Amino acid sequence: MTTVLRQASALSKCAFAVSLSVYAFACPDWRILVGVNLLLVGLLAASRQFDRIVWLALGVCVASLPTLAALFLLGGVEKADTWREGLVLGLSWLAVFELRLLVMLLADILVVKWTTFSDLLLSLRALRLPGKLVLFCSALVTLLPSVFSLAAHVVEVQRCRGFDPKRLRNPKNFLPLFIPVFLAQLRRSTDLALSLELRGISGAPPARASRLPLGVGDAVLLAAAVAVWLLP
Amino acid sequence: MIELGDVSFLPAGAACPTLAEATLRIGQGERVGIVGPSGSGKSTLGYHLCGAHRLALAGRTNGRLAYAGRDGTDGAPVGFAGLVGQNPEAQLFCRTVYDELALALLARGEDEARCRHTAQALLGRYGFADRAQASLGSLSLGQKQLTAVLSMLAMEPRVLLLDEPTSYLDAAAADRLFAHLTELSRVHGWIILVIEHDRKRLASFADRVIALDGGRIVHDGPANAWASWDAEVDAGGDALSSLPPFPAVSPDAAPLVELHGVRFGYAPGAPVLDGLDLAVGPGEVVALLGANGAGKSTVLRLIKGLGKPAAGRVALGAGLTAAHDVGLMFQNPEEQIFAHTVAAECGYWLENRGVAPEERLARCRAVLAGFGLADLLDRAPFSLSFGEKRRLCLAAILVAEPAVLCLDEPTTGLDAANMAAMAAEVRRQAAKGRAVLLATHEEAFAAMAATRWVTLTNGRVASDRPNPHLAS
Repeated sequence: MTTVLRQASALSKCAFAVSLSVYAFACPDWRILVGVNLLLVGLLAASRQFDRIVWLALGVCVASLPTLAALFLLGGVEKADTWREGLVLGLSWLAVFELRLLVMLLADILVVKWTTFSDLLLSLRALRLPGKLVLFCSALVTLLPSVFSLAAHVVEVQRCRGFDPKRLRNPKNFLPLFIPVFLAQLRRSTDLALSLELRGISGAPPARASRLPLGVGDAVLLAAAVAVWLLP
Repeated sequence: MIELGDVSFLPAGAACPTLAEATLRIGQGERVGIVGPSGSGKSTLGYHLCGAHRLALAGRTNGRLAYAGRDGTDGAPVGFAGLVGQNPEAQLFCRTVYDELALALLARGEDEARCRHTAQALLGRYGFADRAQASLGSLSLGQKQLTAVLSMLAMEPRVLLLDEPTSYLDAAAADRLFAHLTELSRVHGWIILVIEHDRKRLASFADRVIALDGGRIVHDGPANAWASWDAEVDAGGDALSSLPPFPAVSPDAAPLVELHGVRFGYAPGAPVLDGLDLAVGPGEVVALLGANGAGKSTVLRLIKGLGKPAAGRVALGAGLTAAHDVGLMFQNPEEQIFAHTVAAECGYWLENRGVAPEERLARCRAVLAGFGLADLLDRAPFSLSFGEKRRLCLAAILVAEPAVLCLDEPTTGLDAANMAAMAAEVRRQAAKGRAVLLATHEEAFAAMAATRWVTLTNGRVASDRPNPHLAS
């Protein structure tokens, strides 16, 4: 089943994630939010995508708990008649908010994990957006991962010549990293744009390429995006 | 098919054209080699021939251009030409090898079955079918270069420009590629344009050679009629005979670097090295050979301490540390250079060690003089040619006098003369008692520079023998 869902177009996946995220902030019932979270965790696990990135997102949620708890508990105490009722109210708000946050994070991770750059690019083309815009968006989405991998490599190269990452506390010492990364990324972006142009990404798509091939996965995701709003 | 009439190209902000008065006509099925020294305008001509000048170059093109009988002032139509540049890594976009091959086909609306069929046929031909779903990040540079070439072959262009297509490929893959290109030009009428420094390979492939010098075409004709081939081969022969001798290696000398049963992988369940044993003594030069992805670069990284073996150990000679006594030169000099002068770039390692500026300058001056860069101390390193940058990077390692020298594909992008100069430098370093390890796929370079040939297969040493060319 997850294979079918993963094969859906990037637009269907985005529609599913956006619908779920918006719904989470409109839904007051913690039981439904728990259910949605379990569904998302199940989909990630079933597609073998429950990796350290997901754990990292969960870690961020946990790390934000003390600050959020202070805010919600203070809000609850202010609203309620007694401090005891206030604490309970604050805790219930905190729980619902964390569940909503988690829905949004997991839905986003699901889309990112299930969508490749090429899926996204082809979906944007199928929308008949201007070719240069598709090319720009495509180059942009690959920019961050590309810069990170390049920076990691340049750090290695300079470490081989005695560079100590601890020295980065002084901004002057950024130069041995920044300059090679900046120049190499400029060249890479130019080469990538040329390669994509030659492969016909920026031109007007032919009629048969401008259709969004909607499959079973798309139908399921779009139906889920609508159905979630029919929940009580 | 391609017609250039009196075409010149003036780069933005430049006073002199990098391509001047080029007049050419290239017909269907021709295999053209483009040769010339660095900066002679080879790539500029290549971009104009495949109609990508508007996309790839910033400047003004004058003259008449036509592709398949149509005006090409603004470039060739989409799908007419494919191109693989010198940095294959930069033109990869997708997550997996299959996605990369299928991208151009999907963009023009081909169905999934046709994409799969094309990708399988291409990958199968190159013995790469089992890596179709491999993540591009997990590939070696050679495998990435092959993927970049195959992604262009998959779109079936009428003209294909390859700029140094074998610079990271092992010999078997390079042979397969050129045999395939020959077939495509003969059977399907593709025009193949190749910029290649390996003149032997080019001579057996191209049926026409265009030679450039200073942006002008100085020869255009059959490959066998180009007199400079012979002159270059003679020059190569002279360089071989003038190489400094290797030092005598004592069999009793303690090794400077040893690897015992080393196991290492970048992903769980996919070992790159699987029980590797190797020892290199002072004065020895070991050429690490093997197919793309065999683990040559990984061995060098482990010796430098950039990774920790999952099992086994990497040991250096008594008193040596990886941080101070192992020098590693990476494949791409562009990813190392950052300083505002050649002297500062060369002295960066010494600066990090706290060597006084006066001593640093004196040592840099001495090392750079050995590489013919002594007059360029105050030049910006970014303005150097590729060969000069490569020599600067080696100087920036040697200035710290490491006991173990690791060079990763040191001849990429170098012509025959520069390759011989690099081999001579390696021999000089060996004569100083250093242990040198070279990861290379250039057998010609390994023949000139190494005392031992170690071939890696399946993460182990498949053969370890003296350099057969020295023995003969």
